[in-house]
Amino acid sequence: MSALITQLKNKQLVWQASRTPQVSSRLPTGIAKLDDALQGGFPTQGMVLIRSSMGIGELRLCLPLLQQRQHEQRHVFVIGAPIELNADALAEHGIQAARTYFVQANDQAKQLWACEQCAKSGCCHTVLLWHEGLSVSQAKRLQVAAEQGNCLLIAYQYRGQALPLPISLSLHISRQTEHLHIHIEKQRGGWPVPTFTVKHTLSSIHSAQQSPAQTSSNIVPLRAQR
Amino acid sequence: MQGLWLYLRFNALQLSHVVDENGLGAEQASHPIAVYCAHTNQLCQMNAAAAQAGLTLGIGLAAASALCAELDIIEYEPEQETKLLHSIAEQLYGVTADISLDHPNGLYLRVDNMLKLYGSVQHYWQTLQRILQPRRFNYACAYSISAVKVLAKAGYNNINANPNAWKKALCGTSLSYCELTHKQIDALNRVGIQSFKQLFEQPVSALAARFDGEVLRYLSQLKGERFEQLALYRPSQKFYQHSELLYEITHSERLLKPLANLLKHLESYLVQRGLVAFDINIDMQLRDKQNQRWQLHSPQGESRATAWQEIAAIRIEHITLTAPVQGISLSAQQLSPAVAANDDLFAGKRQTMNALQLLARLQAKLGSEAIAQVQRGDDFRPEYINRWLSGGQVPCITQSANQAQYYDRPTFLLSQPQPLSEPSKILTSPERLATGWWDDAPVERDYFIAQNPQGQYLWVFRTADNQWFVQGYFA
Repeated sequence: MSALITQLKNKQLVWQASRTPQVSSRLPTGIAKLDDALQGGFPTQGMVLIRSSMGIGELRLCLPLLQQRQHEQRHVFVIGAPIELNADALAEHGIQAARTYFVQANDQAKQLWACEQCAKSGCCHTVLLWHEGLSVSQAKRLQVAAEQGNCLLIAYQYRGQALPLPISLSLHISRQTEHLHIHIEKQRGGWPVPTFTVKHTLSSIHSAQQSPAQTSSNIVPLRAQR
Repeated sequence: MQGLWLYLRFNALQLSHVVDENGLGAEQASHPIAVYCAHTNQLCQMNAAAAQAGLTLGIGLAAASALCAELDIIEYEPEQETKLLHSIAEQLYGVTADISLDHPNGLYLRVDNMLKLYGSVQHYWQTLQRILQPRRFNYACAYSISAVKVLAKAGYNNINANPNAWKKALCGTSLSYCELTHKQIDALNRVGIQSFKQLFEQPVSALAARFDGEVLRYLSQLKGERFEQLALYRPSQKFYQHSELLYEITHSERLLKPLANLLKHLESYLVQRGLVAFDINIDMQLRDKQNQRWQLHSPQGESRATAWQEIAAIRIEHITLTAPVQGISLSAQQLSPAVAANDDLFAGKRQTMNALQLLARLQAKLGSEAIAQVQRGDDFRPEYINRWLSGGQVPCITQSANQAQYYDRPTFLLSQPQPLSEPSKILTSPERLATGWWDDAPVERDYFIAQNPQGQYLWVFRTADNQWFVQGYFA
């Protein structure tokens, strides 16, 4: 029995509560339900995998985290974004363009190399990576690099299967109109949480759906044809 | 009176940079090596082992090979000596100011203006010797530029600030060491002038009657009465060093030993100047083939030879030699001042590198175009919002550019709008954009936020002729 456990431990398939110290500092996402499920928010270091389809708010979910860490005077690296990020949207979320770098390499191996370099350099507080599936060893490397460099590595994956990866946190997100269904697939040092739903939309949609009677001024917003 | 000058004449400059297969210099090598000048058919440089074998300088090739069968012959190349002379001048530049090159193997150093720094000639000479240490050279010190060269050629090898000592020494020197042509020396011999002593004893008017202005000018230069101008040496901004291999190398691992010698030179060059190198180029001269270039890169900049050796040892595995290597040269061009890492003492975890080092590393591997920064363009049209800056351009961020002007802008922006192909639900009121009539890209669009059946929030617009496009995604 103990030999089996040792073997599992060596393969890092078993996590022991006594071994890893709880990561005390957390980065709140600003969404109460999600923060509760994640014991306060995202970890400040390590790798976070977010699986979703493209364009459902997966990036907007994480931008507040970037904004919170700006005071550290470190940098943000964005690696392999499938579509150009919008400078306007970054400014809207209060992210300094001067400290943000975008890396586009022509193949995935180079992107992962760049990601590892950034994560372990210690001069980035956050690295955003878009990739098409990672092997266990690749994920392990990135996780170690991110822990070394005290860096939050958020990896987005739009396609492919979920592998059990040795990383800090793994989420699966899907959208249904105004709500995000969040399934926490893996959370290091935390108990499994059932899938839950949070409301996540855009501020203008939110305000448009409130009754126009609330506007005190005599300016009535134009309504689009429905 | 003109200043005190020192002349260094290197006797075996080319030979000193020959490296044998054990990584030993020619002087330490146990087998005889000589440099042969085909032009004069003479051996012009040789090592100690060759001298032991009974060879002397000046003998022909046939005599040399008859005396010593296992002699290694290297052909004399003045251009290579000149390059080596440059590298010596570069090393000396750290301790002495005025240097002038005398091709192919001599150096003039001005001593008198360095005495303020060094105090005495002896102290200055000791400092120089430390740098010149392993090399063989003749030297002399005098108050005349022409005389100092003659004395050094004659092997005076004496450093003396006494203004009369050098004149005495010059008087005892044979006329054959002077810079005059054979014809002029013959003419002097014919009138009974055999030595410098006799030359100086003649009144100038008597010489003027027989000899042309050139001889008289040289004479006054020798006496130190006439001021001579020398082009002073300026150090170059890049490092170059060449090493000729005595044996052809066919295994790439064997290159490491001769390379280590070159890297030591690089280290002393960089350390003296407080510089680090990011890239070094290693050019290998191949037999009957084009030179093969090999580049080593260190992202954070490195000056230590040991660190470069480690990088070389890793990279050398990937190198296949297409032909035997006959010589290696090492050059470094991108040099920048060494910066000590400024770590925050209280930040807990140390940064292993700074942002510039990281960028340098990424750019080296991916190309400088692969890393970019974004600056918000001063325009309403989404096509002009993102201005990408790459290759080291730094965005100029104004106060207004950091503040958001609009809300709910998509995080992913398509630089080319794509036709909207799915039935989507419009969620917001329109935002009209009618601008750009002054340049060639006028737009008149109504922007909406829409949601498609997959749940994606899209930033769509309708053109004046009622066509729908997707401009971005709210990822």
